[in-house]
Amino acid sequence: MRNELPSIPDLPVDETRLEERIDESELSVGKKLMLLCLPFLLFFVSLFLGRLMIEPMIVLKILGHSLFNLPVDSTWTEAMEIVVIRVRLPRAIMAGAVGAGLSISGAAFQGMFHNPLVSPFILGVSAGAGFGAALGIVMDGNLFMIQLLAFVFGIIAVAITYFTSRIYKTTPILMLVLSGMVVSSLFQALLSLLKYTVDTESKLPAIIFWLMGSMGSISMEKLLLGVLPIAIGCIGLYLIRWRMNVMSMGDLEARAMGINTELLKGIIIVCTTIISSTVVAFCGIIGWVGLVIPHLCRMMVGPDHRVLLPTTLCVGAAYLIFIDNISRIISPAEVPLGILTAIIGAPFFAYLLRKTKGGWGG
Amino acid sequence: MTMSRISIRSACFSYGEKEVWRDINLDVAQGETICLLGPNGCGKTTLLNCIHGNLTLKSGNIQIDGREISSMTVTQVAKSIGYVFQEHSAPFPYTSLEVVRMGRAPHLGLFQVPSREDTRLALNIMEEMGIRHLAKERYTNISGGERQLVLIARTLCQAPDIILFDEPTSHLDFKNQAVVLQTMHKLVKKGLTIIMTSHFPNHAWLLSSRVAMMGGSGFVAVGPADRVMTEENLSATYGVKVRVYQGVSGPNSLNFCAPDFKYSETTAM
Repeated sequence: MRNELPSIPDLPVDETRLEERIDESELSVGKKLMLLCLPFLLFFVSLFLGRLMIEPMIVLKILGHSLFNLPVDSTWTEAMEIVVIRVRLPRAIMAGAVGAGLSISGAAFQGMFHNPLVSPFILGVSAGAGFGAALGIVMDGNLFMIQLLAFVFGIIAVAITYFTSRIYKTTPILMLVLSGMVVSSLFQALLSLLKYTVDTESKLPAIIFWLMGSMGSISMEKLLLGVLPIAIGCIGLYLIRWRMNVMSMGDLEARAMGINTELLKGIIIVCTTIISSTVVAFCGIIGWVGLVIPHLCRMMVGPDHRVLLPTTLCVGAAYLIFIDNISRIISPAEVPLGILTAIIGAPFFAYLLRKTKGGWGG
Repeated sequence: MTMSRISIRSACFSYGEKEVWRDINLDVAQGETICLLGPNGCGKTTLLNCIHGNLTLKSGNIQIDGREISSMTVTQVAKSIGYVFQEHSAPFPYTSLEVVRMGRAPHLGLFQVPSREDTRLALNIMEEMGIRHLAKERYTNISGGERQLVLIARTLCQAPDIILFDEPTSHLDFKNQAVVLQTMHKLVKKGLTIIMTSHFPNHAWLLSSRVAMMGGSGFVAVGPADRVMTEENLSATYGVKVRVYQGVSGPNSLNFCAPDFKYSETTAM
């Protein structure tokens, strides 16, 4: 329903000026194309890059042959095909999904908490999932069991955080942050307890490596299981992109503008939790991405979530595919992803803070 | 008598054990300006928040067009009542146009984004308020007075017919106070209903509004500014000796008040 104020006359608005103003909050076609191409370019690069270098043309042929059944002359070895289709392809797709998911979650949380230092893990999801995974390893579970436990405990941790913060029936931002800290500490303590009691020969290293984060466990079969929840979360967040703008003005003002802030917070928390639990379950704890990328994107395209969210998807995906490539190439034994994102992310974040003078960018 | 838009009946409010005010009654008709006056902590803003449904009364009731405010959803309230807040921190550097356009929120669905029509409406309102030139400016970079005008524009974009103002001129310099008051005056002339809190009794005369003077635990006096803003009532409300003057300049005459220093000196010291 649009009940426009009858007393405000319909002033003639210069159409060209109007267009120009509307475009202000949107990106130019060139910029859009560039943002869209970036992750795909890096995705393709990651297929032929690695210890086994494969020519780009051959990669294309392999892809055409095995994915679309194109009649191409087989000029490659079976090893190449396995590396491209069964190892690098699912890995690159998952890395893209993880990067996109963590980045959009970070952007949504930073808006909701009005704070640039908020990461997707603020409500305790990583601590909970880390504990769940460790529990799976201690119980001698198979990989699926470990991932399931990580996912479930990630969600349990956020649920505890959420309901602890509801002591006033609403969820004040400060209470969410505080109970997030409490729940994180609790699960970290439980994790330490597990680490302390397990067998130090095999299980302790397994837990530690798992927590450092890796794309190594992704296979073609499990890809859908990982990508689908992340995609659902991203779509959910994208749908409420404009309301996030209103929400970012603060709870009281958003309510005055007719926003059901509790519902909106609920949607944001559910979507980000689905995303980050899935990420931690499949790839371990990958820090900094959800903190740095939204910041960088806000600097590039401004704070309007209608533009910011799609931008974080593209840049986040590209960034993590890039980092994953480095982790594969830099040494014969893969460097854990979480270490790389921190080593690259932390100084980069410091640089961004310097550029934006500690402000919001944009 | 015209049908009242807002009716407040034997309203009481308390924060926990601490009672703020009790037995408040007030009827507001369409097109009226109500100015809530009173010392710090007398519960002016609390009353605004109760009218808006942000806070819940301890007892009594508040109705908007015959509907209990507590039974309305935030979206329903936002369509008939706008609220211009006093305290305002703006963390994100949105453009002023985007801030004004946010006022369309109650009219858009959960997944909707504002259409070109909404943008046009926002721009029209800015044009009419004389702040069209700010549309592209970052909201965080404009002056306090301009920001207040942008917030009023945002509230108008909501298309409510009642607007609550919480100390609309605080933190503003003299010129910006005048601009904001003039804008409010125009809104009233268009038929909007305004309820405002103020620390400046003179603004009530300037807007020739009805005044509700608060003190102690409720209203000291309610009525047209010229009638109830007497030296006795003002002194009782603020707890200092206040003198009311009548100023004449050419064809214009206006009442104004000021504290009486001489009186205070002889009694307080």
